Amino acid sequence: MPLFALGFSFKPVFDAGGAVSTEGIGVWIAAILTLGIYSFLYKDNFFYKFSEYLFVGVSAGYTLVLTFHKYLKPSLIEPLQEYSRDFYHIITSSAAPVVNPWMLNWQTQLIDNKFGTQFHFIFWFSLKVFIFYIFPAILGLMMISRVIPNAAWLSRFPLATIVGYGSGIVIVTTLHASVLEQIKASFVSFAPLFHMKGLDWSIIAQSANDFLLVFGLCCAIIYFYFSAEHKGVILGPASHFGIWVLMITFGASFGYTVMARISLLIGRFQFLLSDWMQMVR
Amino acid sequence: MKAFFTIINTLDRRIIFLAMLIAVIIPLINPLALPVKITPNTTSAYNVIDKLNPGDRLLLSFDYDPASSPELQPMAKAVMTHCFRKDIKIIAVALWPQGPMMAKNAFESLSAEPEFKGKKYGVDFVNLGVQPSYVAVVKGMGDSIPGVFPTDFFGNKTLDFEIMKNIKNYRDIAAIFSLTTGSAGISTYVTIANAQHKSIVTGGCTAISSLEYYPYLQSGQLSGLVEGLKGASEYELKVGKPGLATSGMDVQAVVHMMLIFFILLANLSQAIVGKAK
Amino acid sequence: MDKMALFNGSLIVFFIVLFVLLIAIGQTLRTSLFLRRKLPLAFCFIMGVTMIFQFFIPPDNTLYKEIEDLSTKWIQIISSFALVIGLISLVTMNFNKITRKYEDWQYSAVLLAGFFITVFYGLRDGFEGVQFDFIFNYMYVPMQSTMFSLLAFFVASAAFRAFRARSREATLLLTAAVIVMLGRVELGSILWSYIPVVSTYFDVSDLAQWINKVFTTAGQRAILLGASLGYIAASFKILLGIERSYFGSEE
Repeated sequence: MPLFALGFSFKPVFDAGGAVSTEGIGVWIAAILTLGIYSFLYKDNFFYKFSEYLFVGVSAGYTLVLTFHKYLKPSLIEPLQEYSRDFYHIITSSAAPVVNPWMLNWQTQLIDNKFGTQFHFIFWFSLKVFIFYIFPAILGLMMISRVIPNAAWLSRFPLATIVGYGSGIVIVTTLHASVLEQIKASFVSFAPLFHMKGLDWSIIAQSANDFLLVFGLCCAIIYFYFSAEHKGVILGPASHFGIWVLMITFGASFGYTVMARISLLIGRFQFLLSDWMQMVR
Repeated sequence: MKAFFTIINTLDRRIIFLAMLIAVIIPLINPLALPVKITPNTTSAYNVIDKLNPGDRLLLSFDYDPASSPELQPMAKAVMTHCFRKDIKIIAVALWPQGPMMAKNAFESLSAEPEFKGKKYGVDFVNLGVQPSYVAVVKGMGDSIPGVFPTDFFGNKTLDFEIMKNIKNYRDIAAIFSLTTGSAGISTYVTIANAQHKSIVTGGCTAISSLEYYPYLQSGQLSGLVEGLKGASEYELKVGKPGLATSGMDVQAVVHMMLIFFILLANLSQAIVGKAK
Repeated sequence: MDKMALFNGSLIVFFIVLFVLLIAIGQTLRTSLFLRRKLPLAFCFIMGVTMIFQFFIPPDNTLYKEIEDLSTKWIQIISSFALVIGLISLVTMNFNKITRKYEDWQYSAVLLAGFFITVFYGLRDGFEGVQFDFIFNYMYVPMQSTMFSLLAFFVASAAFRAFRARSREATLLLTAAVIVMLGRVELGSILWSYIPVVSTYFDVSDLAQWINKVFTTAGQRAILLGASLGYIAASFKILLGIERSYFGSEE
């Protein structure tokens, strides 16, 4: 009651007409689950565990729905259906339209009797469907064999395929975008410094910043260079400055991390206070 | 005095939790309406979209999940508002499994507003959903976007949509805007779409990962970056539609101050109690 | 329509038969070193080299398009199956927990209930279903974002407990963090304006931006270069079969 005196009312479960409102119930469920998870801050308890397990269940359910509807259906099941339907139409010379462009091409070739014969068609069709769909599906099934102890080694084939694909791409793209381009961008130009008329402080500041950036970068790299001891006139002080640069980097990162974490908290309280308690508008 | 700092040194963490709670709730109930200063990174991201022509396609990549939605959902809405006002068509894709649902929610809430009543799904906006293995997706789109996404999120054929007419790959896309949390997202687009296909890549990210992209900003591989809740609030102000992010910045300011105070207090107490030992 | 159902049915039967066949083959040939080790490594090598090679073909070339198309389809299909394994083990594990009445088995029932309800509505209606939307928006979203927002409290407590200026480096770290935190919020600028002399020259937000533009960019670039080179080296090791931890524990 004193809460209501503060001037807010909870989200009603019934709408104006007196019927149960889906949104109202939803907001209440969401609020209860939210508070249940926050109760962990005091100590671990039933409400937290309940929400935690429910979350894992729902999230796994979401993954399965997504895997079926969005991954397997459009990239494996539907193409197989389409190909087979077209194949059936072409073979039986039915009047139904052929949808797949690749199959359409074959159909015109067969009709024009150009260089396609029934045998060629069946051969290329089988090969295409096998390479594009059946073979990766076999690899996928091999992946699932991981749950069966003695056949688990079969999963090495699909894993090798994925890992090989990833590695091949990483080698070229990372080398290009994250190494070469980054090194290229570190070659800053000090030419404006020599062409400025009088004392242009913005150019001087820019050049000083550029110099600090490159110098800091070199020192930080020296710090990461472990093949020689960080001693002597150059390596010693340079690696020391490198540590400083890295410390500033980590400090700034920590500041940003704090910021990000607080933002998430703000989002939840915006929900609790405005959607559920209807306190803030 | 020393007794006080000894207590500070051995404070139960639940008291800090309580202080956090109060610091979050009070500014939410009594907004301070602090101004927000717009940073150059947000301005350059804004300008990338502002320079596009009406009818251009923007690839908006929803690379986040509900966990980061307080930061990225307001950003997504602000960017979409900007695009819709300029009549830029949005092709939404996702590299994160939950991304398409976030895209769906953002479009539903925007198209319910009177200003965007005329915006139609399939004409002004399309949600192509998500595909597994983000490297393969970003790489595959360089060859064919409909090839990677044969259907939209709801199972309709991608090529049937008006917005997808004459859209083959990155060359037909005016710019890429990635809303990123974690590893899949901006860096994937920079390393593949920008490096290989010379696409203009810009984006927004959670504050936690934004510093990772500074090297790409300096080298020009990434054009502008909307950083975290602050960036989102800046973008909201840029499009003149303050929303959840802007009101959240008040809280952010108060909590930051409190945390800084705590850090200083903890250091002070350690200095005093430590010396006494 | 009838034919489609027949086709779908035979497709399912086909995949089940294929799976059983694969398992049988896997069980009988499990001692073959060639199949267990050499052939997968060859797969990995060929796949990787093809992908590297592909970057050196002009994008308009048909060969490029074919490789791109084929490899993307393969990876998409294989990855989709990979997701299923996690689900199978999650469900079987929790099912065992319930049937054997392990500690906290009641929660496993909650988990499975959440799983099957979501799957039921999701598979039935797709992503446009009202019930699926309800589950996502009023259960999934609040639960996940609340879980992650718990970290805010722990970050606060960590800042209080561990963030101490014990050495010169730690002081530098702390100072940078404080300046960045001040510089990102407007209240920081207001406080800064009370500092005499300095505040007339620059604002704390400018200072924070300068730190990020110069030092953080330098530090992050050093980390990026190091990590990228490591990443490339590791990829080469994988392609050449030197690194094969993805094979599992026995090798």
